[in-house]
Amino acid sequence: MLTRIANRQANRSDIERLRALCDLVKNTSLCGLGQSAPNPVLSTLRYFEKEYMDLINEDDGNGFHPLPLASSGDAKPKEEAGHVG
Amino acid sequence: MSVKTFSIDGKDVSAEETTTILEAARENGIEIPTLCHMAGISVVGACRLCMVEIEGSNKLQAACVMNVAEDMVIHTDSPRLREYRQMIVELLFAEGNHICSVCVANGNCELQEMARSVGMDHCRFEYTYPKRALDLSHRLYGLDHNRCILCTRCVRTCDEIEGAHTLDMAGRGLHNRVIAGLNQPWGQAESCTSCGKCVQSCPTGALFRKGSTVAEMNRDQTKLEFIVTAREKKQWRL
Repeated sequence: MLTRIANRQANRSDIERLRALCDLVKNTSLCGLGQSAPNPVLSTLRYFEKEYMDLINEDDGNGFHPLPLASSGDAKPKEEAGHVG
Repeated sequence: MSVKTFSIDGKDVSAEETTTILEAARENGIEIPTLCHMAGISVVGACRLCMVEIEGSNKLQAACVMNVAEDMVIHTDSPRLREYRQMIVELLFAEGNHICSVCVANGNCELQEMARSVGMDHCRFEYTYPKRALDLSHRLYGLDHNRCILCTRCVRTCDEIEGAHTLDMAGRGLHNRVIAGLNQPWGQAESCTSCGKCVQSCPTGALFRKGSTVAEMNRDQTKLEFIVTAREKKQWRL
């Protein structure tokens, strides 16, 4: 999930999903590790929200990606594979 | 032994102090979802599906391990708990390789039934598709780690009911898995009595009786051939 965000492939809903996952793990864990492990993610989400938002695609999760940034990296290997085939 | 009075979902109930919230709820007709709990064996509180809210406490408690107390006000169902339960089931699906259509337990699976009852219609999390092994070394039974949800019911059953303790858990985090004997192929674990109780305890199709899988379904078409030759050539012996 974080990799997707760092690669500019994520959208707003991914951030919300990440937050929900942290909330789940934090509240339902048996041991202290589980209860505190989501804290680093949650605190970066709280204090560096702008940085997260700068990395996401502004497409509101409807599947349409206006920025070619993320797809350009993926498209290259596909083209090469096409030449080989 | 003293009796405690408390309320579950607005219903005033009483139970002995050694009763867990889960047992008290079930006695009073309130169903709390769970996958790792099984009557007759010890409790671990591993699946986290039976989490309940207790008034006066921020922390959720696992109903299968928490004993009842005087004046406790318990809520077993709330939008928050429903959301958590659905997410837990989604994560179970994302963590393993649960392909219902080719599973021995399809239609007879507690995980599948749980997904239905919590209203899971899709998985919000990416499937991890882990590469996990399949142990078919045992004469009678198979162990498919792909379908294992690590509830440890088989481990507890093997230890506490059969007394063999052939099965146990090994590894941490993503590498956590059920092992037989001294981390051997199951067929080589000498302590196994082949009783099959583990297969009965498994909530999914991770433990199964050999011969019951889709791939092992054999059709005997020679019988049809026999009938045809018998009719046409009056030949009644094979």
